[in-house]
Amino acid sequence: MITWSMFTSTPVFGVVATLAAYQLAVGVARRARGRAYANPVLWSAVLLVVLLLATGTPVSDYAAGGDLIAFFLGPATVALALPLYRQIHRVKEALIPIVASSVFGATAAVFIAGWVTKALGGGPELVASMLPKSTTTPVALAVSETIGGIPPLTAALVILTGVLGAVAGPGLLRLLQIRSEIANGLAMGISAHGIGTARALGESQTTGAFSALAMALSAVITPVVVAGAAALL
Amino acid sequence: MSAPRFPLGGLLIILTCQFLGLGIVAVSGLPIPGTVVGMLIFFAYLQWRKPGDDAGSVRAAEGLLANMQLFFIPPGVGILAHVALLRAEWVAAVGGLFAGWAAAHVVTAVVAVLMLRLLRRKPREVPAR
Repeated sequence: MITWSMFTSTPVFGVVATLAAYQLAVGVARRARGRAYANPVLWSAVLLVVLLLATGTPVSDYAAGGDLIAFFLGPATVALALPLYRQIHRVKEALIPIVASSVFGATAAVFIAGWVTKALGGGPELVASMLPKSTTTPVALAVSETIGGIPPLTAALVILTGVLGAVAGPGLLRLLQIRSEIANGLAMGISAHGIGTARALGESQTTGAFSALAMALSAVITPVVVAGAAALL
Repeated sequence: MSAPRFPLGGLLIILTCQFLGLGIVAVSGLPIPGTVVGMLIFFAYLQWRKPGDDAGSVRAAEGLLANMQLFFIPPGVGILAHVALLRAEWVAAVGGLFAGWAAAHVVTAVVAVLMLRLLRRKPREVPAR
């Protein structure tokens, strides 16, 4: 008998499905002239989840191929040194604003997230899982574990934060009439880590470079701030 | 003219930087991710060699960055397995998620704009003569 699982039991399934969903989502995003709500990460993931649910495919079957694609997140993060290298003269000029805004922004991210979660009735495990969510996944997971959070929950919150930032970040600053590419890039990197940076790279070289820089700074600042917040909240 | 070759050498340089970064973190126990250390190593490499736009390392990096959104899709699919964890306290989760993001975004941008303005005004206050 021919069953669907015969097709999904190879990693090629996950790779083909991801690439196809991405191509489709990018095509739609282009039609929408790059409007924020047409974010390809968001819609590809939604499309794939619908596919898995509709066909009853186990997530583990998809992950066998998905992991091959996600592997490239590592080298892509390393590659973020390139926009930084190309913009280094501007980074040197604005070193103090970069560090100051990153420290203030990362601190606000941790404390406001923790405080609001608690005020809305979130338990200690949810609060601990929430605190490190603005920083890049490996850091957030390590931090979450040390303060009594649930790492898989933190991973979900990190991704959701990134998608939110990529979709709504540029619009939020437009609303506040902040047009500076540097400020936009820094805000994306601090509030929405790699997913925000991926979007910032689409805006301009400058925005992408400063987002990459802020993301790296956040990886250093956030663990320190979370340690303080966990003790205070 | 031959077709542009796949920048395999450049990819090797980037992966080696990542490998070294992961190794340094594993050995030293630094509280930052190995890939971020790898990024700093690749940055040092670029500063040292100053490769042109047609160099393999630059082309490989551009290729990876151009498709960065693609690499985030599988983790995005993976989170759905954990959405159930959020169900019980979803008001607190959504509230904290949104408030934390908005605060971080606005604070970072506003501080950056104010300080950039301050930095730019200073030299002008000195009479240029």
